[in-house]
Amino acid sequence: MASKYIALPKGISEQTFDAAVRDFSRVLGDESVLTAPERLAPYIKTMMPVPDSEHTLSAALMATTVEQIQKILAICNKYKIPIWTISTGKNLGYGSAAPAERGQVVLDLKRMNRILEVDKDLAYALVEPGVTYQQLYDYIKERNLGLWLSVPAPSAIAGPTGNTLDRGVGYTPYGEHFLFACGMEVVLANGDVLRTGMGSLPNSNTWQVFKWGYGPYLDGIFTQSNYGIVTKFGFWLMPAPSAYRPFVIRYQNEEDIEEIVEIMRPLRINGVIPNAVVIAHALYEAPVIARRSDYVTGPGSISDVAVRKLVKDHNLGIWNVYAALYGTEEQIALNWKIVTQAFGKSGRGQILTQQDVGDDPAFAYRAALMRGDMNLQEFSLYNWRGGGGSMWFAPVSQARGSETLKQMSLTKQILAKHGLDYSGEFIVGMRDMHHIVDVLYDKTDPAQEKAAYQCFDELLTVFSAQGYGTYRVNSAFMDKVASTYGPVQRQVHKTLKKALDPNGILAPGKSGIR
Amino acid sequence: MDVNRRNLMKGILAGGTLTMCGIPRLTTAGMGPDSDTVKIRTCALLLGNTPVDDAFANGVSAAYSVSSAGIGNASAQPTPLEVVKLKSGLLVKVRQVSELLATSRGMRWVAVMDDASAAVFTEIVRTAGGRLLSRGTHVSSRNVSAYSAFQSDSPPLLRHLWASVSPEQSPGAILAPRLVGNHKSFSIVEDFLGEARSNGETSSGSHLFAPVFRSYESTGPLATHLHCSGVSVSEGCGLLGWNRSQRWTEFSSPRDGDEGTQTVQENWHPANWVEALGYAVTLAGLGVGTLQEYCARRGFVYRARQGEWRNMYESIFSEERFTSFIVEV
Ligand SMILES: Cc1cc2nc3c(=O)[nH]c(=O)nc-3n(C[C@H](O)[C@H](O)[C@H](O)COP(=O)(O)OP(=O)(O)OC[C@H]3O[C@@H](n4cnc5c(N)ncnc54)[C@H](O)[C@@H]3O)c2cc1C
Repeated sequence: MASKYIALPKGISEQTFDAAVRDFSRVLGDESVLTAPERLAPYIKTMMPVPDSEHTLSAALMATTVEQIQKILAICNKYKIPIWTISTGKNLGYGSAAPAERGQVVLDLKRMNRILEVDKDLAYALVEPGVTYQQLYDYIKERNLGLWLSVPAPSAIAGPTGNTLDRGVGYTPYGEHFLFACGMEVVLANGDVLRTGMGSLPNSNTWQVFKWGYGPYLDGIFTQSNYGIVTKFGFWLMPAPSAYRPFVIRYQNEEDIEEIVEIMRPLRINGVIPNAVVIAHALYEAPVIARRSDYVTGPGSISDVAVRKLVKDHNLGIWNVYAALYGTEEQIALNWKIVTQAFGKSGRGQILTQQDVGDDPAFAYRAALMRGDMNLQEFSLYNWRGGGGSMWFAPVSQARGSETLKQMSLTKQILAKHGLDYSGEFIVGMRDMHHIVDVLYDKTDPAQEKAAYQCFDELLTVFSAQGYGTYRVNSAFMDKVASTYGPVQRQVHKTLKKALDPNGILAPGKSGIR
Repeated sequence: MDVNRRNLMKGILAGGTLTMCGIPRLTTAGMGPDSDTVKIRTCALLLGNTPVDDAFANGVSAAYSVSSAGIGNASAQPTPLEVVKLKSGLLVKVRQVSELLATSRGMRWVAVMDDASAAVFTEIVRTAGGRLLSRGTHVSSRNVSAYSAFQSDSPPLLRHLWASVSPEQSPGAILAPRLVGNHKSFSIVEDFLGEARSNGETSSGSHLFAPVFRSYESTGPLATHLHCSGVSVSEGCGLLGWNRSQRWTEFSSPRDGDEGTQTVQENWHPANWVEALGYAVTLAGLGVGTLQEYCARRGFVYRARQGEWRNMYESIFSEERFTSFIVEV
């Protein structure tokens, strides 16, 4: 007779798990403890080139209060049950809602979804982890608070807590999300509740306005980590500017990225262009408007000739630089002059505004994201290859033209070797660039799935050998990436883990930490 | 909101009899404490604005009528199948789809959509506390490379990959015999989260559904069944990317004279593979006609016969990539 669970935590017998599930049910009620396969199935699709069975959860728990989480952790400690926390659980391309290891119990905080405070004057929010961007967006709109969000491309369905805890990015001037985080409440493995920064001080009203508090700054250790469960999250919002001008600059050669970055860097560092600019390759743009099968026949990656044709057919650039100006009309007019002069000098880039492009769908979704609106068009990437395989390759680069060109060429070459396309973009920070590549492949083709695995592995190996680190990775490759940062950092992570979570119940495997 | 609801059909559209091995039922019996809380009242179809919507819907309506007939309750008026078509696709209508699911508690949905929408739909179902019974990824490639068409280890041009709760809810065994008639190679892989519950029976009856297939079970740690036609078990493993050195035992072989025929009696014949798919997914969604093998993984590999290689080379599948679902909310 088969087990009554679809998976069990490593080293835990069915009998022990039964006892734990009974205890969980006593705390949460039967309805909030999911073990039926059809209820757990939506947590399992990972899109990674490894069997989903390696990331199958044993159960999902729906907690709604801090007290419940404390009790759950006590049960986990008692039975040594590992627990994987998600807030809104939309970590698509990085492992989705599935745990890092087979058998872990998912703690799903989607029902902890109260917006605790939005301060119009000080422009901050304090939310529970299950709050989605859409919810917050509606809240702000309904009350006419005049504040903007910064959202990742899955906007509506994702949420600020999970996104920021995984150090995600958006596209407004507040796009580097963790920079704008201010104050967390964290339940530790032993059940203690820590409020970081000014939050530890009784009666403090500065928790969401001053990040550092007193003593070592702790917030960072709760991001991309498994040291605690974040139950409240504070962050800053951007006051809506009176004027906003999104634009795109289209370039027609891959080598032009050198010029783009060299012009962009001073404009970003000086704050002339304040937002997280995107330099999107044509193949990152294409899925919104074109079908791969119209340009590629047979196996292998798309040819440069085909990309040129696609670019021509759809009026794209090989590189498409999306940026925006924010402020008053006067400020924008002034900065627009600086921008157009800088980018106009060589004559290689074509600068276009909303008026120029009309209802171009690629421009429309970028313009929406750069003002923190809800829009899901970027999911079109999944229609490019089809077949449901996707992993984000996310190395960090200096904001220097020669570096970006080198990274792009290297990535493209390794992808092509494995028959995969370069669907990449650079997200421009002040001094860094997040080089984001969607490694898209067809999971119904076993040879392509294998190639995708080998390709990703090679990308990580080659990039780290050249000194390029990855900022975030899917759960099949977390150990590999952790090892690229060397033994000392790994040992420090481990030491912290032992001190804060001696039974190793919190998300073992997250960022390679156990 | 341009979500259109309409009744696709009322009552039975096509007659026919179906050999049913599953139990026609509209409620699930899950395995955990949360399994029986929703009573499923009706079945509905969600069309995600893909080029295959119409063909898929044809298959759905045929299956719906066949199953209604097969239930054998002549006095009962079959519940009309409700159809929702997302005119501008799910990525634009995500809020409406969330609301739709939220207001349709107790409903089982069969859905088809592009892969981008499918990624979002899975998330909406989870957020709504829904049940995902089956998700299929479907790919047909155009046969443009003579080289790849004749390579023994290149995958078939038509491929289906399912993640299903159990063989009871998985369409593969309904689909496979209906694709054989097309004389084009294909593969189907189904992964099951929970094994079908055995009542002391062993798995059996596969030739009932797939007479041209030889059926094997692996003696490895993962209970796996593989049904092959036109390929050896080792070639079949290679085409599915499975370990070729696995040990297999044959448990069913084609009967003489069965080749190319179906024992499932029905008057309806699909015009193309997408119709066959819509049919299979819907029957599986209704719990009718599925093959309840007791395994964690199942594969079907069919390679068209030698004489049909040319046919396969010449005949062109249109390039299609999309996802199908069976969900309950
Ligand atoms: C088409 C597409 C485009 C994308 N674009 C972007 C983009 O522009 N920017 C970007 O950043 N990402 C992007 N992503 C990746 C991802 O979808 C987003 O980052 C998303 O915001 C993450 O999901 P979430 O917000 O629901 O977080 P969750 O999935 O809830 O959380 C993410 C991780 O954080 C940890 N965690 C979550 N909650 C807690 C908690 N309460 N306590 C402790 N640890 C916790 C867990 O390890 C979890 O896996 C994209 C994905 C797709 C498919």
